[in-house]
Amino acid sequence: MSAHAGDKPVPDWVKAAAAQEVPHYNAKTKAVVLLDETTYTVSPDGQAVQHVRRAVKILRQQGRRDATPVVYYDKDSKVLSMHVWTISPTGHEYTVKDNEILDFAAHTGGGELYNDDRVKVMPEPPGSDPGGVVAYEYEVKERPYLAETTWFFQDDLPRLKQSFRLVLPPGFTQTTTWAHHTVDKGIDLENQKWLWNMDSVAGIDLDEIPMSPSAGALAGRMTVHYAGPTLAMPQEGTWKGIGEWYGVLSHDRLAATPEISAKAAELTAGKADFYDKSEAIALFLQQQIRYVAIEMGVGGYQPHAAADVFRGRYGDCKDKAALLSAMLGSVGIHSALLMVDTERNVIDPDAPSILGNHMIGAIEIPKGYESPKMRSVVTAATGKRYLIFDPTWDKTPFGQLENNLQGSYGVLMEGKESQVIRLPVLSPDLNTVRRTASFELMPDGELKGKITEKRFGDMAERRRVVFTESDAKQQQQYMDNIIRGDLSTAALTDLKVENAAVLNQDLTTSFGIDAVHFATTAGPLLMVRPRVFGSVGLKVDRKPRLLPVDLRQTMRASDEFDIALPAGYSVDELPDPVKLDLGFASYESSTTVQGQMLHYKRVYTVREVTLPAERYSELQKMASVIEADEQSRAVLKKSN
Amino acid sequence: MMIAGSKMSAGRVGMVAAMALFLGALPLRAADLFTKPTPEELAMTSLPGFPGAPAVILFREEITNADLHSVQHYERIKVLTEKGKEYANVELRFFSSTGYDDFADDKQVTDIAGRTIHPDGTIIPFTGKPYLKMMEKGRDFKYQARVFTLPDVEIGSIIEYRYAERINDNIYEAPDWYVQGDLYTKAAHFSWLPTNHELNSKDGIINTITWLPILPEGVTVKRTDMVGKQTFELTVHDMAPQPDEDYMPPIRSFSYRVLFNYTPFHSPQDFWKSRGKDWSKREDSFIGPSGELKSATESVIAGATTQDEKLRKIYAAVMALENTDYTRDRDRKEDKAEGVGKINNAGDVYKRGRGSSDQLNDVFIGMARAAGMKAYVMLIPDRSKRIFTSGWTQFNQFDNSIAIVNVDGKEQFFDPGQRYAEYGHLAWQNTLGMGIRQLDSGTDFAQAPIDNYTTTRSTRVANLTMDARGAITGKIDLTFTGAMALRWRHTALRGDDESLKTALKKNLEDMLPKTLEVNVTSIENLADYVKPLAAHFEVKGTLGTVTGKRMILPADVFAAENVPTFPHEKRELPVYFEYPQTVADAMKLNFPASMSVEAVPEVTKELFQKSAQFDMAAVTAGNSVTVRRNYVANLIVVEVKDYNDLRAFYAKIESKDKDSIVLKMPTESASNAPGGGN
Repeated sequence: MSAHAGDKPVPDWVKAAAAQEVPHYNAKTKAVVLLDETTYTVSPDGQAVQHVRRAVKILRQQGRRDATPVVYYDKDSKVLSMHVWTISPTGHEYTVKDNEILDFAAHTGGGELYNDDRVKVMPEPPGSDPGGVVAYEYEVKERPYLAETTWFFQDDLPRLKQSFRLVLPPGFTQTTTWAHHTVDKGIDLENQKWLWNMDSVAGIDLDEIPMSPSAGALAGRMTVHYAGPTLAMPQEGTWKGIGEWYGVLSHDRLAATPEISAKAAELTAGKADFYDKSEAIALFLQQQIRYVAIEMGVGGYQPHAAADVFRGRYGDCKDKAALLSAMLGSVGIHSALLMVDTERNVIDPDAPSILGNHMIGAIEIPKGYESPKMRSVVTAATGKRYLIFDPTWDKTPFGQLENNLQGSYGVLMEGKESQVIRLPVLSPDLNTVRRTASFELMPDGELKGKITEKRFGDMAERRRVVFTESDAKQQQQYMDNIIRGDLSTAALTDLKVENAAVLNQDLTTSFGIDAVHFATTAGPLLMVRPRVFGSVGLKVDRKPRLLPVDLRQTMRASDEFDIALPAGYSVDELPDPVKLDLGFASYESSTTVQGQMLHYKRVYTVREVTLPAERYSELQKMASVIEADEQSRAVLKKSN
Repeated sequence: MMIAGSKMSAGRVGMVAAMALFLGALPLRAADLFTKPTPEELAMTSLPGFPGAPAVILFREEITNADLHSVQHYERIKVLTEKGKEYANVELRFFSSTGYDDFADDKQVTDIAGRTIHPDGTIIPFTGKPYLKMMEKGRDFKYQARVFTLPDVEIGSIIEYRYAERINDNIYEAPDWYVQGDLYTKAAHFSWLPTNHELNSKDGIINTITWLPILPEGVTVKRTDMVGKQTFELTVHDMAPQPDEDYMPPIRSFSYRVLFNYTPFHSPQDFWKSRGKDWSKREDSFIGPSGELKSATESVIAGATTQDEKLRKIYAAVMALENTDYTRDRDRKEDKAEGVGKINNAGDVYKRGRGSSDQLNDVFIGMARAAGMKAYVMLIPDRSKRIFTSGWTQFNQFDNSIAIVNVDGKEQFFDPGQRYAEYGHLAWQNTLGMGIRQLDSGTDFAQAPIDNYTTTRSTRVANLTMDARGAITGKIDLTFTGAMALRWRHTALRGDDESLKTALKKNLEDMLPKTLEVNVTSIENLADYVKPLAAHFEVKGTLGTVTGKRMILPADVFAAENVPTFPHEKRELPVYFEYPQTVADAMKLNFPASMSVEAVPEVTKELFQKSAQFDMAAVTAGNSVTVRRNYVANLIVVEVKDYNDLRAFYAKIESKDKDSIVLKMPTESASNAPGGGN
């Protein structure tokens, strides 16, 4: 059955792709990529054009979005052509008119104010129903300043047939690097043409997988670097090459102006110590330079001039890192830009590329200098030590590193000494929550008392945001919502907050609570949960685990609560003490009684940020122990 | 749920159609552009009564000059916190379309100027060039934004900017003044100079200006009429932002504002009467019924004798059609490829076998008419979003259409546009609100009915068995009617059976203690809207905690994880519930003979006024204990004065939900029980 509509008939490659037999997938699979064929052609002047053919079969209604024809571009690239065809589940063939294709500002999810990423898209083309096939073909003139392209051959959909064809002009050379996949040398088609095929690639389904790594940390990809006589910035496929390429882009932007130098001198006046000087400038960057995302063409990679960032007092991550470098440089401290990705392990040390979505700073530590305040320290292959600092992450204390970057890799942009470095995993002592409380339990189960909570490191981040950026009503509501998980009927009073904006000191929150019916009565029994407030429970499932676990952060949580028991009641039963140390994490808890005072104490420590899949059962055990302890009850009995 | 109060102007505009000359705004000297800050403004650090407010609007101005086809905007904002610095990022969006004639809606944003003033009085002018950001571009339209960031903003800064909106020379737009935003406004001034040129619309000569003022008491729009030239002005002071609370009524569209209209009608009543008549005619023309629809109806109602029987058959036939609002609208070429002609009437929709919610509503009405019943369309707002006001003369207040059919002499309401809505019931979003309906002749306003608590019922039954080691296995059955059944059926329609299974599983997992593992075993009556929707699950795992001698279990597994509905003591707005409902739980726990019941929750009954009730009771029989919990709420709106009582009622429920069943257990079993991690 066939009924043509539109300008051109459905091409044979679409029909051939649609005719493939689709294997049986599980019921959750939304769509399958029947064909994904990329040809990347570099012309003698170095300009690259990418030609893509893609056909997707929709398996479920939700798969319609996955099949949407879409092409991204920006002001430095150009969509030369785009055509869309579909074959409906009943076999009708459709050709979409080119002028029906829409053009949007791309939603990158970051809420960027200045972003020229654009997308050509054909939402819900005719026939795009379960069983239907959506196919499209496009050609994009690539950004002229790149000599690198990445073939992403794995995502959340299964893929049946896919290939990447590289065509280079005479005199050009290429190298490939592979991430999350074994190296495939491909086929040399001769005459400067190469071909890689990748058939029957499974999709990565992260739905309902607790504590999963990001898709980017798992998906296979191949990056091609190429070099040639006409390229202004050729790539050789090494981290050094990437650093040198970035050095050309950024070098002039890191220059300090007299105004910058004057400000740096003012901030560091009277300070002789390396750490103190660096910290003063770092705090200025964190607190005085507003983050405003700016992604315009090459500006997606290249920072604005430090002078402009300083003048406007705003910029994006690379702008802030550039100004940091300029200011530090003006007081004699060298620093380099460090490209990272906010999703752990997207940057693969074995796969040099410019993939990364964030820029931070690496401050070179003077030889022989030591300070206990420097926690996020990396020693590069050159032997130089760097203090890693993110001027954009404005709630992480100087000297530390936000948790999502810990244990990940970053690209140190140090010219000829550029290299990939592993970022440190910091001690749990630097990321803590400590709760202490004194309560009084009434015979009717009401609990009154005062809680003091001290937070430091990233454990304080959310609250620092709330207590520095929200109004009083929102702050009260935030805390109401925090306690309602544990104290369903509690009223929270006398909320006091200290050091909300002082990152290198504990954020201290104290408040009173009055929770009626906290302890439940059952005949002569009164049952009270010694773990009154605060949970460290883990969300795990009971399924076999195939993927690594992302524990998110190292941390330590400790609670010490005293509960004065009501007169006339004695303790009939107490929860048993708990002690479990699995290396990556430990949990210890005890409930004791002295006279009429119940004392609950526990410490939970996480020492790693990731865990291999084979240790998931240990995590399940830890979760079960914590869950049981958090729900445990002391049973009080009314004296006769 | 209707808000009236529109005021009318008798003022008329000119009688001769003409094209206004574009004069443009005269350039202002830089010194005139901005207001010199007062010492108090520079020194201001907070807003009394609003601790922690991120920023405050010191002054806002919006001057619309119809004959210049321009709107001049001016904003002065004092930054009070770190969060307030975000107001230095400005994105001014505008839409332009090419259209088919001179009436293209071609807007521009121009003449942007701005500056930052530090608390010490230092002025930093904005010298950059605003970025023109293309948000969306189609065949005949562009949706763009001018984007800029004011420089060197710090806490305490005053940021201010001006810009002009330019409108196509052939377009005359009445302004909408949105007075209340997300920031406190110390002062604002709005003015509009309408055109004196004669304007035409398809309804005739536009000779009237209407406006809907939603303003605080004592604040009014001032109209002056000098030498035939009208001016409208509004000045406001000390305008607090609109509250934002959980369970708040759909009043987003009733923040303080003034909405103007050029209109050929002399009053809102005239508008609704005239436009209502047109709308009704168009509906009737589409509904028919056509000969084909009559013939189809005959076959559908074959065998039915009463009007109710006939209508039920018609309703079932319409429910069997694909509702493309839940799937996908097809374009013309798809219809053509499938041999379907142009859709001219409800009969064509029926023949095609699919349609939008509104089209299916029309099909139902057409078939009811074909079966000899009087049937009418009613337009209704979605009350999860908005409330209808007759003073605002716009049909776009209505989101959905429903049907009114006279069955055996009595008018009944139906919602065939909501696929799988129960016969004779409306989706909750379409209940209670005022709307406009057809009559035998003309139209009138009407109110949609609402069901009581018996219509929406969730029944949750758990039959659990615990072995000697404390391991739990069992079955859970959830049954839904009314709004809850419709919600799940629509989840399936928007996705599929698999996504419904996933959603139901997650819903139950969120209810139950985390120690129980949930699997969906079957779903019944998904497409049979006449019967309750039933979902069946198997659960296994552990439950409760073990002490040395006892096992302490939640009294009701479905409610044990409940969190407070109203955690906040203060309330500014009435509490608004979506629909009345009943939730009935029954949990039976079978335990080993070696265990015995030491304590169960006491019988409890709580009331809130005469509108809501909660009760819980436990019964022990042999080696089992059964807990029944019932929650009945006939609530829609609860006034602020009753908030404390309502909150106390819910607190009692939530406290009771934490009650336990205490089982005595043999010591040796306790130490081995899997639930006893300690």
